Formats: sequence, C-alpha cells, structure tokens
Amino acid sequence: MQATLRYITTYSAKKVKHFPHAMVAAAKILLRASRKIVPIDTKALYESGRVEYSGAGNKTIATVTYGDEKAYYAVWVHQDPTKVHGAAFNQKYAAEIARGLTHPRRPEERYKFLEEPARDEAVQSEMATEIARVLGETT
Amino acid sequence: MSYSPAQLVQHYLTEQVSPPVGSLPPQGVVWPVYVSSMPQDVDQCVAIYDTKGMTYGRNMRTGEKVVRPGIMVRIRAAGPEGPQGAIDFGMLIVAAFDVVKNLTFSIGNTEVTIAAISRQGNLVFAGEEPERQRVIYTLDAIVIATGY
Repeated sequence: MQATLRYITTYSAKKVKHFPHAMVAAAKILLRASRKIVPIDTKALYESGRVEYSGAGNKTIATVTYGDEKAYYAVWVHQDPTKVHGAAFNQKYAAEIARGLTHPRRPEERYKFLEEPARDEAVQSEMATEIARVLGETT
Repeated sequence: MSYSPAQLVQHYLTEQVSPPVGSLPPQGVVWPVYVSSMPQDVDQCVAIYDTKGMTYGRNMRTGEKVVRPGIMVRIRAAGPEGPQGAIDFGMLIVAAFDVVKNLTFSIGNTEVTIAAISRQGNLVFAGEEPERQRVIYTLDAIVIATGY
C-alpha cells in the first residue's frame, strides 16, 4: 500500500515538474502554425508573435500572443475581415506588385491568423501529442 | 432554404429577443445588423461574419463528425459617444447570447433551434478606422444550433 502511494506521489511530482515544459511546447506548435498564415507586410506583426507563460507546476498557463509597440495593430488585423490578404491581395494588387510598389504576399495569409489554427483539429492533435510526449505518456 | 449561422444569429437578435437587439436591414435603421458585410456609409451598425468552427468529436451512434460553427460580431460606432455606444450595444448582444437556451423559431419556412451561443471571451476593442475615426469592437462566439 505504502509502495503504491509512494509510486503515485513520485509519478505525480514528475508530471507536475514537466507540465510547464509541456504547455510551452504545445503553445510553440500553435505559434508555428499561426506564423504560416499571419499577414506579413513589414514583418513587425510576424515578429511580435510569441509564447508567454505564467503560473507554475500544473497551474502553468501558456499563451500565444501577437502585438507589441511596433505591431500595435495586431488585434485590428486579426479581427478585420474586410482587408484582403494572401492570394486575394496578390490578385488585387498585381499591377502594384509588378511595378515594385509592394511585395507579393504568401498565398495562405489571412485574418484570424491565431484563432483559426487554434481551432484546427490537426494543430490541436499535434499539441496534444506533444504534451503527452513531454509528460512521458507516449514512447 | 438554408441559412448560415450568422444569418441565424441576425434573426435571433433582431426578431427573437425582446426588446430587439438591433434591426433587420434594409428597413431597420437603428443599429442595423448586417451579415458578412458592413456598408461604409453607415456609421452605427453591426455585422455578423461566419468564422471557422470547432470540432467536437463524433456522434457515437452515427460516426458523424460534430462541428460547431463560429461567428464574429463587429460593432461600429462613431462620434464622441461612439466608444461608449458600442460598448453598451455590445453588452446587449453579450446578454442576448448568454440567455439563449434551446430556442426554436422560424426563418421563412425553416424551423431552427439555437441550443446555445457560446461566447469565446468578451467584447474586444479592435481599433479605430483611420479614415473616419469610427471605433470597432468585436465579439467571437460558437453557435450550437440545428435545423438550418
């Protein structure tokens, strides 16, 4: 009985110790997925994307966030469906791109660049797998 | 006829909530609630957009994948009282979302049921339109509904 309790206690302590790493690792997967579609013009918005965490142990909260002094417009771009991005931008501004007045965008760029990957089943699955891996629950 | 989740919510706000939260364009002029577009010449209005939904596993009996659609509400207001007006109106929408529970109603000949509208956070200040100094607030939600 005591041996079992000791095993559970050790097992739990190990999990709690690794929990912050698991949260941050999962958040980095979301950030990476988000960076594939975040609109890039000056690159300030792209570069403002980061992972932050607070709390400790199994109370750790990891957050993926965009926006800083340079990219103060992050929420605006994320929440504005009226602006064209990606392939639609390239099509709309083909003449300006051809004249070198602006640069072509990556076709997949779009608004909701953080919310959409966060709701994507494949990204969620990858995050879950990473959490399990860091916590030592898979081989 | 089928409807989008944004249209469902438009009808819910303007026709099912008492007193109505916004009005149905083109007749409605007080806080008109549009779907998928926001006319440039209307200073004070709301637009609801369909957004990516969330997968909620599969139906255990049929194996069908359960996807709950997302919506985004954009609220625009102008003038010195614009920000407060947008917040006040936004909070009416928040309250309307929070109270809906298994509400069945008809749009045309289609009977729909909204089980819930689950907010994904609070009203968010998105910024100010640089050209006209009109403020924009947004609210994201997941719609759990059937029959549309």
